[in-house]
Amino acid sequence: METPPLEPGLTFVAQPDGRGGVAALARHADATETLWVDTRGAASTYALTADADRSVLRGLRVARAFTAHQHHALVRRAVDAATARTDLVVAPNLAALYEAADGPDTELDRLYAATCSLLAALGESTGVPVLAGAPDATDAHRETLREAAAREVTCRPTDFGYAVDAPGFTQSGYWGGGWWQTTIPYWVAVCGAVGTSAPATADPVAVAVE
Amino acid sequence: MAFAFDVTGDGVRVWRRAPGGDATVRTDREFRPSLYAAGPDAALATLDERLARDPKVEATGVASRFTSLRDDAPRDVLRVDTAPGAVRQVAREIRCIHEPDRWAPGTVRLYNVDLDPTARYCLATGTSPVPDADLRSLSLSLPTAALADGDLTALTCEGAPLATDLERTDAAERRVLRALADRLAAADPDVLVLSSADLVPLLSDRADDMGVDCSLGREPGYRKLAGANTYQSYGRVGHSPARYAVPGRAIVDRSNSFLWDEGGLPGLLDLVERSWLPLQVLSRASIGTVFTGIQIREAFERDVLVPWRAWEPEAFKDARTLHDADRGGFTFEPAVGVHEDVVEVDFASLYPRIMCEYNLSPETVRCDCHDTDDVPGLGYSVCDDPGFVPSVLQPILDDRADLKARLADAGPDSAETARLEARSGALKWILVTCFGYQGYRNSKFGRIECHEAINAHAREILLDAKDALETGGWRVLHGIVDSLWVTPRVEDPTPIEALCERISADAGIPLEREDDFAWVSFVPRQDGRGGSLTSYVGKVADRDEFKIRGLAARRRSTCGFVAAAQRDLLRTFDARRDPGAVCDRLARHVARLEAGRVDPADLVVRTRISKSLDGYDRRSRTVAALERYRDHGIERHPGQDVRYVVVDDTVRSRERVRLAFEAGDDYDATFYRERLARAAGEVLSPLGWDRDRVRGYLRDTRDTTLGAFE
Repeated sequence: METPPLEPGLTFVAQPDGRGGVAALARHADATETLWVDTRGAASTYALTADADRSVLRGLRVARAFTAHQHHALVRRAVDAATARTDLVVAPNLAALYEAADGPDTELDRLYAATCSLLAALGESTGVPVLAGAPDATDAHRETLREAAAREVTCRPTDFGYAVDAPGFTQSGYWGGGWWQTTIPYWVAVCGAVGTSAPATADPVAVAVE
Repeated sequence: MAFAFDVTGDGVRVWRRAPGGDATVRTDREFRPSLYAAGPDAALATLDERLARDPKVEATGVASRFTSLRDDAPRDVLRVDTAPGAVRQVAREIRCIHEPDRWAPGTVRLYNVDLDPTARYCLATGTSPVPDADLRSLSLSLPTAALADGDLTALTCEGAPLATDLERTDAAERRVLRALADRLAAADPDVLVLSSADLVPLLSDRADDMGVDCSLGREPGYRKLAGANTYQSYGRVGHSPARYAVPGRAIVDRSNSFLWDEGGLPGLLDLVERSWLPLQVLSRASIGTVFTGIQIREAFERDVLVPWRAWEPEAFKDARTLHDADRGGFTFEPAVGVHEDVVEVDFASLYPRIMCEYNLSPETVRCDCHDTDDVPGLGYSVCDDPGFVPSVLQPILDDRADLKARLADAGPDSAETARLEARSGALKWILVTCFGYQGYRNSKFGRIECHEAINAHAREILLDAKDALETGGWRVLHGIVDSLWVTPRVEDPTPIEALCERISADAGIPLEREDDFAWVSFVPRQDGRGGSLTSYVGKVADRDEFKIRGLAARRRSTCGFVAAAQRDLLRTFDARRDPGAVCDRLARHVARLEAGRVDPADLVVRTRISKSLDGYDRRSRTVAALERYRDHGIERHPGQDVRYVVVDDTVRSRERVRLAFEAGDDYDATFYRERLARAAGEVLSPLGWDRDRVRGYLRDTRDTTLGAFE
């Protein structure tokens, strides 16, 4: 999977058509040590190794939260758990536990906003990329995360893999086992554009090149 | 000692009765419930100042308590004594008003907030809720339809009608209420066992309206403690009906008491003694609530506070360790088919015994004081200090073993046997639940690493047992969680008792010979890929008995006729071992069904609903039943059952079914014939027959063999 270079600070990973975008970006980030703040089984190691070997788990340190309060405490703890080798922090399904009726909305919304701020502060102070997503969250919770984040990346699942849309990044193709799939921007880069009106898009074309 | 409690704004009313004496009541107006706050000294000092201005707070002070099972020493915390009934409100205000004003979320942690008010009183004041005298109980029942209709004439007391009037009139209902008042006065019960707690407002309000002096309590009046609600637990929707209290008597709502069904009054009282949850609270509690109650009692004795919110997360761990740890119990896929000469061996109470044997508890697993490799495959350390959970579980294990030993000595069918069985049954459920609670997200004293460590030991123990059995000349046919099914692999294997003894000694947990089977049939999964882990049937050797798991005959939704027919087909299979003979026998049940000779009461299907009527999109049988309930003025809530007979499965209207209590004797024979074919398919599926083949056989067979009529 071709991914944009990860920038220091909090990145909101928008996933308009499903989940898994944060995990996909993290898997291909080539990080030395990743801290993964997990909820709802996103870090299910079986899912992570489903089409790969156990070696993808190397350098990955995971802790799971099962309540909103645990999740907030875990984000706080991530600050201490980060070492000099830590070069990526991941927090998928960020809002899920805050929407699970573990307390009054006023208490949980405040906790959630504090969690988003903490992640932003963690990324800013350590200079480490922090990837957070909130698929299935309420619009309000997604907006809170978007506001706390320094930038936004969109991840859409396609038949060929995730299509990533990020500022200054153009996806040229999708790689599979023994094949790769080009995108229109790839051909634009190779052949040039006929006119100027066609927008560059990251959607795959229906031609596979062996 | 006390048996009923009533917490009001004036204080706590405590009801007692000495053996042979009358009930007495004392009101404790001095008791003030306390919550506790922990945090930085400056934050607690500020909070103390602010709470001093809150009229709901009567006093504050510093107390020395453990805030976690993992604490080495107690610490100073702020004790906040509140007005009766104000604990939760004060806690919410600390969390939502005081803390946000000055500190980051979680700076102040709160404890002893969400305890049951009556249990809190008992624990805080040392008032035992275990009754001195043998409690007197009186049961009252009213069928669902009559309850919805407010028809008192059908009311029964101890199983007998209170009135003989068939017509519902004001005079008849007055007679019922007067008869009830007489029974209450004569029996003076301590416990009212009601078919539904809704009887409390119905009977009380109707008595008031009719001017009949009939109080359910020892004093007039009743209180509504909580309204009905719907909840989700382990992915299943449940319904909790409204709760009521009457003065001086504990109410057991049979429609909402799993423990009453499992253990009756002796079982409930055993658990009251362990948890100090008063009888009325305990009777409606889930097993998990009771287990938590037992833990909270132990926590009080150790000066450990009970956290309000589950804040403590697990520690970051290497993903490869998580990969190894995040697995369930042992499963060994069954060999689909019919196997002769099978023995089932089980580890008795495996999970609680593992916790006790290996000292597994939230505070001992991955402790801070050891760096040892104590959990197989995971490398977690386990502290040597006696664990909290084992200290709770060991007495339950010991007492249950003692009860079972006394049961073996007690005569069959004696009153003592029934009492011992009830107590043993109630304890069994605590032991079944305790492991799952370690991984429950809102568990007060759970921890996921403890859950993982227990599973790791369980897998190791089962794998070691499997190796030992195979070395001893046995073939393992199936294994799951704590049980193994084996059959001789060689002509003269090591006797199973000797192997069990050896394996028990190695594991430190007894492996018992559960059952010997003449044959066991492991059923394939519905998708045909391998064997079902939880569906099998075994013919117990030397006894006319089958052990059935996962088949129609065991499923709660199966109607009595189909369940009985499946058992009958199993007997035919046992006698003949011939699929054709089973199908011929099936044909006899089909013939009886199609001739209209089945009692409709045996055709009642029971389904638990997951949403209310308006939430369903499809015109299912459940929807048809719910519409009919609504026609009768009966609201069924998610988590409750609907019970109906299918009368015409070809239509989508409410005429598709008839409710169990509605009059009528017609039914849809085609629908039930299909259910019979499925049940027969389950019996024959290990032999490669599915229900289509069963249907085909029935279609092709004109004359049944003699076997069908034996």
